[in-house]
Amino acid sequence: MLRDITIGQYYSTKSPVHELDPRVKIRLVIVFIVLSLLDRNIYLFGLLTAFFMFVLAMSNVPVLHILKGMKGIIIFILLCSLINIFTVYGEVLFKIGGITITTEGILKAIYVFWRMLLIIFMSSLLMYTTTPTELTDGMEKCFAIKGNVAMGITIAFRFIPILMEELDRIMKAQEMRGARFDKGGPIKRIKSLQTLIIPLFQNSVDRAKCLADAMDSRCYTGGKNRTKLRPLKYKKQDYIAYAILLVLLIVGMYFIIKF
Amino acid sequence: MIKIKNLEFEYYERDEEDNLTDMINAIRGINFDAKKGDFIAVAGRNGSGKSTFAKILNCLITPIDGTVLIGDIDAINGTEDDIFKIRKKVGMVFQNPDNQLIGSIVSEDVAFGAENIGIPSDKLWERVLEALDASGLGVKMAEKKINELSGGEKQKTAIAGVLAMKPSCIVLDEATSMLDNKSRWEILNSIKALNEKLGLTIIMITHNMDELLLADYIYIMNKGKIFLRGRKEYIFSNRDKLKEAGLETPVIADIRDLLFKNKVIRDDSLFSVDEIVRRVKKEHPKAFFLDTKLQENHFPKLRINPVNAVLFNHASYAYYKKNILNDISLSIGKGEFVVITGGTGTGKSTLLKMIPALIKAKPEMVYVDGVDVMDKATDLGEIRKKIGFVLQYPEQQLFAKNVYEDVVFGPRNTGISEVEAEKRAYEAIALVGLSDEIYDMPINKLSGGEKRRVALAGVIAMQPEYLILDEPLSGLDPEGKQNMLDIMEALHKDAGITIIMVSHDIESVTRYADRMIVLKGGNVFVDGVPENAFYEMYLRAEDKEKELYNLPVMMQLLIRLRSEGLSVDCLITDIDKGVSSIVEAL
Repeated sequence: MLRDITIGQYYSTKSPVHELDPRVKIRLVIVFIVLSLLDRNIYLFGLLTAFFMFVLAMSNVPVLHILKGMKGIIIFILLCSLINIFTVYGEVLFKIGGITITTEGILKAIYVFWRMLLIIFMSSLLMYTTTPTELTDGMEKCFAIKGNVAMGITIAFRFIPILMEELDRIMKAQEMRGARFDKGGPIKRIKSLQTLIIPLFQNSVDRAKCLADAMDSRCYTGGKNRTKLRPLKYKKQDYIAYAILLVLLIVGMYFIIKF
Repeated sequence: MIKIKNLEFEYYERDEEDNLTDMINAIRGINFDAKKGDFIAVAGRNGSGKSTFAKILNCLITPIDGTVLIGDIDAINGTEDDIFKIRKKVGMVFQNPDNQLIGSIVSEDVAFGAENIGIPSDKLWERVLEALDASGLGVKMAEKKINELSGGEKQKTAIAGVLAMKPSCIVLDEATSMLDNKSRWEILNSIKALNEKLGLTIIMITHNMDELLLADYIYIMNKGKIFLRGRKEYIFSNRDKLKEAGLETPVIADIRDLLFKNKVIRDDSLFSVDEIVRRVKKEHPKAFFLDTKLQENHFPKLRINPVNAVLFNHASYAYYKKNILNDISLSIGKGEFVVITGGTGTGKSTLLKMIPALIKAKPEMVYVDGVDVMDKATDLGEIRKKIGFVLQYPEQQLFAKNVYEDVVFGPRNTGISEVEAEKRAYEAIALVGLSDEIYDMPINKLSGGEKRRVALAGVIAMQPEYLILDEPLSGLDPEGKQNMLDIMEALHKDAGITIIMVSHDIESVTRYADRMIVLKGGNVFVDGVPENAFYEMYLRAEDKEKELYNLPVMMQLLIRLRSEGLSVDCLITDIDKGVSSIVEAL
């Protein structure tokens, strides 16, 4: 289950979306998210959904692959949005026991769920189609991050799956020695987590030392005079993507103002 | 190319209040030389100072005294620019594949070093592809994700990353110690090729004795000093000294010495199966008949204890639509010592993890003591009490502040009295051969081999009936391996514990296990007594010549002799038995 986390999970294939400059993709996702947060109405969400479908189709990433990695998150946001049903006042639809269900509540829940789904799917599509290095290169440019901070992010991406696997191993080892992580009250549970975090932390420190040596040994000096295997250069398709982005922005704003 | 004189390095250990507790003399007066194109091996037990030495070559550590000249650059008193130049010249490959790769994609990682030294973008791809080709990984792998590579492929990526910087020397710090046998030899062969074809100087730090045979010159380190130095002929004639340094002789040298003692050959300076075959043929030409047909494999029925301990009943497992295990049916009896082998990604670890249901499959697929472990109604706690599971690199899973606290963790969880739990912990620590002085020791004060034994003690303290181990020998030096194997043998013979382990260490498999299961593509490929199983693997291999490397050395020699026409019995892996079979055939 731990391996299902999508952060740092690049999906290696060839597609127009993979080919795009990371800066374009990052800006696109930002505009997409901002639009989805500005307002909620059926036209705007329909537009965003259609746009997501279009990018998805172009990306060659199998839908099932994305869904598999999101099972846990989908359940989580579903629960989060369900809470909205009970908290919104409005026209009473029906009553069960002491709980009142309102039409507005249900509508809001649907919109919240839809919005979160859009945001998460779109940003994970960015992860699937962009290698962590490209992503950090892009972020370096888009958000003016320093080179060595960007390197830190690259490395974090690289080590997330490794640490997840390690955590899984530590958990299994302790489960085999009679530890139960699913039993007992909250305090007991937090205490039992301690035995997981200590080795994980210790190993991370050890790994970091090794990695620092490996980077030193390959002449890393914090990004001075560093060249790039894939230098960021806009190509024809990137300008087209920017044009599409502009159209999306305009139509989105129109829907927001109009409805 | 490299000249080192009177090298000294020491470091201090301090306690929490910053008081000096220990001064460790890591390196004491080393003299070392390497010329351009040399292949040099540096061997020694864990903690002999060999890795410290390797780091000095790359300026990752600054020694306190002595001279270190890399090319004509002074590595000790050099400027930052000089250090940069040295690191460009001397590339380094480290032990752990996961801790040295920076990029997430092969090509990105290979380019990392070259990017740092400012190779222009338009030349970078050329370098990356060239390096991938030379490292043996191949240009096709350029866009693969690092996380999807096997350990061997990751190490090749690391080598390519060094090659992309165009060094004139590569230092390999135990670069093969975490790999399986097949990948290990693939890497060693590519390194040998780099040495021979590109004229690169190789300095290989290792504790695998068979790897030393590749080198032109060998340094043996012990307690921070150069203990022995010379060509392999000289090094391996010093059996006692090697033992003192915590090392052993390679199996091929043992076989040769035994043949020499039995007067089969009169040359005690041979170091390969081929050389020995040629020599035997030369000295006993009449013993070789023309009949060179392959010996048939007479498979004796396995004597499986009818009391099923672990039963796999058409067990399958898939992950993301990828079949890991395909319809495996197996029965492992009580009291067996089973070794499971197979290449990377054949499902060995998955198979092990299914036994205590750490990986879930469909009901009725796995039984332990007749209980369906995949059934949701089964009390897994009860089943898991019987099973001790030592996962890969168990020392990385230790968590307590000292040895005793870690070992007693398991017994305490079982709900027995504190006194009883304490007793079990003490017994387990004694069983793994650690002295009682170690109880209060903090974990990080222990050596790698000791840590692994502590982890094993933590599992043994649960008093399991079954012990499952995932690559328990990986990364250990000869002494550490022997310790682990002795413990396992004692647990098996004296305590009657059923042992199921995954291991790549073929030589020890043959000595200790009474059954070997080989997995291939998620299926049981071969299952039998180790001797039969190895021979069967050879018979069924498409490329028999290549498969030879995956067999125990004794069997390699016997098969080669037989194919030359000597009527020896090939179904032997034991050195004494093998040599007497040769003596008889002559």
